Amino acid sequence: MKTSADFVDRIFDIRRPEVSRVLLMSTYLLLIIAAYSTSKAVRDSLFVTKIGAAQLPYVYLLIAGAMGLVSLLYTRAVARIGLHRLVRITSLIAISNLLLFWLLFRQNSAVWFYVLYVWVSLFGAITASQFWLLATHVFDAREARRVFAWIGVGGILGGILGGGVTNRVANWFGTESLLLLCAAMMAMTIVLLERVAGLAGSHVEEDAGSRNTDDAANSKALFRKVRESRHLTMLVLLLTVAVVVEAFIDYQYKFVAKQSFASKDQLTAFFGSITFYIGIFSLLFQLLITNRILKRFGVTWAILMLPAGLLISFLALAAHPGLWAAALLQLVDGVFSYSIHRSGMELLYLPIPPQTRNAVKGFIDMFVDRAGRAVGAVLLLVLTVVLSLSIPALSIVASALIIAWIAIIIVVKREYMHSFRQALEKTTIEPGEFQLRNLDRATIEPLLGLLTSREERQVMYALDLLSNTHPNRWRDQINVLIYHPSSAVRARTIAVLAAWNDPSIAREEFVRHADYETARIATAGALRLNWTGSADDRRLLSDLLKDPSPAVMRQAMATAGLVKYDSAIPILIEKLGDRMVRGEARDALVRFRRMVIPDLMRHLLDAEEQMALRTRIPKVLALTGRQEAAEALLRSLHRCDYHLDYAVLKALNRMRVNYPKIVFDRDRVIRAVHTEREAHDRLKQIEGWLEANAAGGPVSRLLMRAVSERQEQRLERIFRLVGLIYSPHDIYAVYYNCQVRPALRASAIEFLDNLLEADVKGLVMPLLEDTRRERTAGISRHAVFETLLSPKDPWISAIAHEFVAREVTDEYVNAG
Amino acid sequence: MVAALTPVDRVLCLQTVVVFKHATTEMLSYIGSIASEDELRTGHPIFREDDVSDAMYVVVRGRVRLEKAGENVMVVNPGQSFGTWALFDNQPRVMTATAMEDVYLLKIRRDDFYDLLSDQQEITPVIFRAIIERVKGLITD
Repeated sequence: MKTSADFVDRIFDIRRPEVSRVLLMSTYLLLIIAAYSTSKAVRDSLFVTKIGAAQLPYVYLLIAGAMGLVSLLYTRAVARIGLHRLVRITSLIAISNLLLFWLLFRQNSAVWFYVLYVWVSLFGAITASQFWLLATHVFDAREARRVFAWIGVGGILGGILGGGVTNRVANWFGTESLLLLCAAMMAMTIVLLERVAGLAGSHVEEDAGSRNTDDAANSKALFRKVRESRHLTMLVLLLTVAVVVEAFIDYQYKFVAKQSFASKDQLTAFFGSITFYIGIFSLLFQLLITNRILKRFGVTWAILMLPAGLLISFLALAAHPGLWAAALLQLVDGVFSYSIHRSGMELLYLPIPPQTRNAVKGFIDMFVDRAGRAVGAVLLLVLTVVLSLSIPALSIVASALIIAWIAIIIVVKREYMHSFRQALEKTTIEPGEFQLRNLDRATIEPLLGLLTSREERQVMYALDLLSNTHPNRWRDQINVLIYHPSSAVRARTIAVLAAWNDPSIAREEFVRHADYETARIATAGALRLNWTGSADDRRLLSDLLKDPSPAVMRQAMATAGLVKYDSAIPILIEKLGDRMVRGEARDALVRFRRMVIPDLMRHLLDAEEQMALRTRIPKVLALTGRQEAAEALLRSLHRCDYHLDYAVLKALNRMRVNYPKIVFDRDRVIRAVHTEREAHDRLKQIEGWLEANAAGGPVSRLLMRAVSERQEQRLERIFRLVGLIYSPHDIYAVYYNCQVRPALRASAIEFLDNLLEADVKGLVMPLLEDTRRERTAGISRHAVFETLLSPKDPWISAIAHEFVAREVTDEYVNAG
Repeated sequence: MVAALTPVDRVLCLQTVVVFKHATTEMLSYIGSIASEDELRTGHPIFREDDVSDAMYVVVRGRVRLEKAGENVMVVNPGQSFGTWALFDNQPRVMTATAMEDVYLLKIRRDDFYDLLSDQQEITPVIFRAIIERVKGLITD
């Protein structure tokens, strides 16, 4: 199991806790796309056979209008009912509609074929948009960058499955029966949705609405932004022309296909098989060719392939208006659109700052797509209805549009390079956001130019951007960087190379660099490449771990963790207290996994050890993700001081969330809740006594505030503990609502009352109810001051001593 | 200078500072522990316009005048702070601060503050919360 998880991590870059989510979401997308491509084939076949391809431009117009209306209603619906519920409702509506269509099509009523055509377009757009919105809630931004490409593969496989199934089932059981199959696939998505929502937690319900509302509200500002930026204007123009051409492709493909098949079921099967081949070819193209083209020929060639392929196909259709040419047109469109064209277009967004980029993408989905469809429909109506142009003549018009498309690409490329340079200057591209390895030499050139700058800030930024790119792409610059006047640049260069395990750090120029610090950093990095475990290696690494330079120490620590040099453990633990290198010390310790747990626990419980070091240990233990670490941390609870206990609790909560398989001893947790509850009750009594005997001075008020804060902290700790044996999402939601949203407090308490078992309920529920009148019961003045002045809580004790010294009078002494 | 204020005194001064408004009393004691105490005579400049900004101040006793281009902007009284944004921004000072009478100040240096945030990480979110409230306030105003 461990080996297969490591394999998935290494090959696919998917971490162990993400595997189940990635599989669920990929399957979800597969089903959605399969259902969509199947229903699309049914729709197209029924429409062109029953109504006729000549009517297609009218439905394009209907779709553009319907999308505007639905987008408006949809935005409000997301805001009102939350994403999770909306996805579920959408799926249920889709299933019922598909069953309804299946029943209605037995009657052959023309209007329903129009309805189905529009409905399928909306179904495709809404389900895909909902899916990716859901995906952004299931994965955080860092996870998304790694796993979205693999989830996308589920979509391509869905197209293949949908196409293959359509081809077979249409011939065996008839076109209409496919609608039942689509309904079944959508029913399966509901089951998956519940699992996905369980993994994603309560935040699936939040955010989405406000985001969409903001999009709508900002549309004017976006229009202005697009007008002001030449790059954005050209991008929008490019996409508009592409959507217009898309209408020509769709119309001509279906028109010619209809003429070639007599039977409706044969036509459906043909549409299915074309979808199937589009899926197969786009998958192969994406896996084998896209990156090579991007890297070798650059963005321009990548986005030129689709219009160039379409131009050839349209010219072929103009010369020989037969089925093979129409099929070629559709194949070229499908294969390139879903592979290289999409990747190339993504790169065109690279120089746009992230916040603008998302808004512009939303703008394009909302306006450009609809406007393009409408323009395409009107143009087709003029050409087919008014001018009665034939398929060859339409192909010539489409070819002219494609030539305009290609001309725009040339301008876009120029603007893209300009914007890219500007973005580099302004450092608006975020490191790790895009895979720079996909960029061609011409695009990457300005970035490489930054590496030769004398300005430290610029070079550091370029190195950050390049840190995800194999050093082969920037090897020529390494020689310059070795001798850069800034030691920070030299250290960062070595760190980036070391992270790639690049052998160049073992070069003489590095390890024997004139600057002694640079040489030691390189030596510390190079050691991991040639580690033999010999006495010499161990001695050298031990020396480097004690180096006075933090940069050297960081590299040495990384090497110690990677080669699992166990003699380094004591020094790594010691360095947890050093804010200059504590992050690297922690990362290195985590690599030792189980081995390091006993040593860490010994230091954690050692009262003689520095507090700055001890407070860092629980997090390291949590990051090991081991059951043994969780058990040791739980055992240590209430054996350390107040603040250390809090660090231990936070670490336990971190483990509970990040490693759901870890089991916490329920009895021990409940005992800990008991201890916290006792402390809380004591503080409550003290607070009540202080209020009843208020001295009125500033120190008295400060003391009351401090006692009240301690009470709140005890309550938080109780919730943290309860979160170890119940769903942490549920417990956090209750705590959050009780603390921050008074209006929801009552329902949160009600929810908790139903969630907790009797023994835990008895401990927790009274804390949430107002028992003000009981507060002063059963506590004497002596007991109050004994607790307040106790050294167990140094802060409360300090205020209490000051209070006694400054504000306590004889009258006060006799009170209570 | 030998510290004259106890940790509790320092907390009493710091609890009125806007950016620390969500800090617990114990967090304030940590912040107080990095503060130094300055006693200045009447008319003594604390910082001048365009000086490097590297610290914020809280007035314990006395009053401080803030001026911009020779014009009085405001008077800072005991319990109030000034130069607060120096903790978050290294832009030059936009005002001149002068002791109007003998003043006793608490001074928190930016570098010490960041070291503290690094060691006491739970302070960072409460500072963010106060800053965000302030920014939201500026937007809605």
